Amino acid sequence: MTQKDRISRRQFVAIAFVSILSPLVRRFPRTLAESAGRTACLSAVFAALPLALVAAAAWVLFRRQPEGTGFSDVMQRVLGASTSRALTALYGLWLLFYAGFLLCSGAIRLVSALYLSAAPWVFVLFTALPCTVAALGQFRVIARMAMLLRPLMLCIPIAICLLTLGEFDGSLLLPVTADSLVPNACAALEIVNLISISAYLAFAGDRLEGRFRLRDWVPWAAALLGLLALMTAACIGMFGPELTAKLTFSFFLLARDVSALGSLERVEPLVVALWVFSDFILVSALLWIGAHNLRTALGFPDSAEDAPPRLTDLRRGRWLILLCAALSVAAALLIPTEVDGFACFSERLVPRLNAVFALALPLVILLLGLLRRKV
Amino acid sequence: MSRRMIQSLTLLLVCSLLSGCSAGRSIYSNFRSLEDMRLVETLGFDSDGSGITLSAAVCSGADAEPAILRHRDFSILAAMERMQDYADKGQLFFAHTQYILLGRAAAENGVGALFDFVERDVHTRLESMLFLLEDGDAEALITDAGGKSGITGTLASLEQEAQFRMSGHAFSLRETAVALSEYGAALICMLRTAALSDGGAPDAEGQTAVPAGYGVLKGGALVGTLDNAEAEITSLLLGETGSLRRGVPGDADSAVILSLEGVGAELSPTWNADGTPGAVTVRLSLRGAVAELSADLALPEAARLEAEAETALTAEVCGVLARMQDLNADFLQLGRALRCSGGERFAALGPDWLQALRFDVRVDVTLDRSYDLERPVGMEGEAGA
Repeated sequence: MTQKDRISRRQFVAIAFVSILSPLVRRFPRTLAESAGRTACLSAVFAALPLALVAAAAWVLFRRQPEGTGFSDVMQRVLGASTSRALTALYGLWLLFYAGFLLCSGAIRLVSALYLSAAPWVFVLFTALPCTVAALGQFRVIARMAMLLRPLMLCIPIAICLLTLGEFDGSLLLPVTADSLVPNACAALEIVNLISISAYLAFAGDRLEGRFRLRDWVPWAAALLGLLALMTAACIGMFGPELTAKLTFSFFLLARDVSALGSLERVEPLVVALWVFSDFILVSALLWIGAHNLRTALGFPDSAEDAPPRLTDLRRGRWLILLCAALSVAAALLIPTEVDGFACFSERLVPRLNAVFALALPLVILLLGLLRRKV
Repeated sequence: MSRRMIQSLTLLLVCSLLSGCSAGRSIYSNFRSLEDMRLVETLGFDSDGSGITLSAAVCSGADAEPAILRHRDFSILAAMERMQDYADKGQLFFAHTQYILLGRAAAENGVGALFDFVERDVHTRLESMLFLLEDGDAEALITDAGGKSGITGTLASLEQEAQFRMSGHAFSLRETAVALSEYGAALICMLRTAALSDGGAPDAEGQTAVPAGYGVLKGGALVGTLDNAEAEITSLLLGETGSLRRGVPGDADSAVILSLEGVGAELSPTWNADGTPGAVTVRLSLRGAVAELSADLALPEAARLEAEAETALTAEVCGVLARMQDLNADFLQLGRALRCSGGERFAALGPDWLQALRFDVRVDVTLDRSYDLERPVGMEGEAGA
């Protein structure tokens, strides 16, 4: 069996799918119900078109690149060595901050929903620890973990939504009028912004065997949007749009309150599993990519052809991985955990920065690349 | 020692620590076995504005009478925590609370605090069934409930019975919260305290609860009630399943008891050209049978019985609709039909849209069977006149 750090296209898509579930279930369907009201499940359908455009732009960016090209290599080709190195480092720092934000939000979620008297730092540290171990290893380990988790992550929300069928009130999702179009379109943009975090995986494109194909990603993107529509419809059909928008973790409460055949109750641990596993995959991937970027920017050698390094082997700049993990944890601990302070990050800062790094900057690089005929 | 053996031993050690079956000796310091937990089955909630009284019927085992705990404090959480001090053993577990009983005063003061607590709290569930006590405090009924299974058994029986009877469908906290947020009003199954000896053995001790219709919540507070007859019509209009009994005059001095079941209820709003709502068409269809005749066994023709029943039920439906408008509480969820049919026109209506509605009521009763009551057993030669 090969020891090289290579992942297949299926594994690449699996990481994207599982990692997107982390912010997806954190923000939705609450914010969708806030924006679009009772017809919010349509926003997932509306998001298909802009998402297709984003995917097409990504394809154009990479279509002429040789196999094993990451986003850093594309930036170097378009912008030159020194600019690309600076941007790669900047992306690395942003991804570390984003990983810290995810650690903090995951901890707040566990404290708010389950462990009311616990301190968030406990969950930050105990989540960061296995993610750091994963980041010290090969990227393919994270990919294989995502492959194992993907069926579970797909089945959990579907199973919970099916359990609500007996109490589901479809009239709470009606009527659909012309006034529903604009709010759903705005909510769709938020969905696209959130799903665009999969763009950061492009930095690990040098680990990909073969060329990335859109047709590998399309069915899972459709599954993601379908899942989002299903979860939103289930929450609104059970709680109504107003309560769904007010409840902080509406899908968690949904799972807490459904029962099957009068005997199976309190299945919310399944939702907790969804939170924890998807957070693990995303934070691990971001730590790995962030450290990889910083090591590349600082000129440390990195080869996917090498045998898997020992976890305790910190040579060739691998000590940076521990430093990156520490920076993420520090960011997580410095982000305020009370409602107003955290909302400033969660509702404004992070989504806007994500739009810049995941959408705007790659678009600018694409346009420059087309103008300079480098892509 | 080989590397593989070290890994295996480490894995074994980790699994033993992480396993929840080690009875408190693992890292799960909050692990509790079922025998160490006291399951709260019914929670009573009373409030007089200056404090909250929580009372609980706690399961003590399959064959034992439930234990009763109560505590008054300034908040629900404080009362729950202090109640633990009086549990004889184990930890109170609120996560499987099946029923919540509201005292009348608590409902009149507003249920917002209770709903907000259940939505926030990790221990309670929105699927708990909600009941309102028409008279008195929930604490008194929970404490004095007779029968081996206490108040929980009484409420479980009422909940099951409500599926077949129209006069008191039980709604969960979630259904009530959704109705309040969507329509501004909700129904809550209302009960009245009764002595066990009233309907059982004369020497039976303790209290029980009997259906008393619906309470009407508006804006989170109790604003009115519907008696059993009104509750039956309301349940019919809401499309609930079940049967009801109505007596109609027969020939001479006889009365005929009809057993009726709702087949369909339709509330169809119309809209005028200027965007205001027109008359709401209320169509109620019932099928039934002659269930009982009074003494002189005079069975009129079916057509006449149907007409009498339709007249009587039409008047009852109009009475419920008028009650809804008097309270200005949309407990029939007309807002849903208006919203679905009117869209933006409904959104543009003022807050008193309900009171401005007019209704066109029609009730159709079809009698299927008379069960051959014209020739009852033991009365040869004396068919109905």
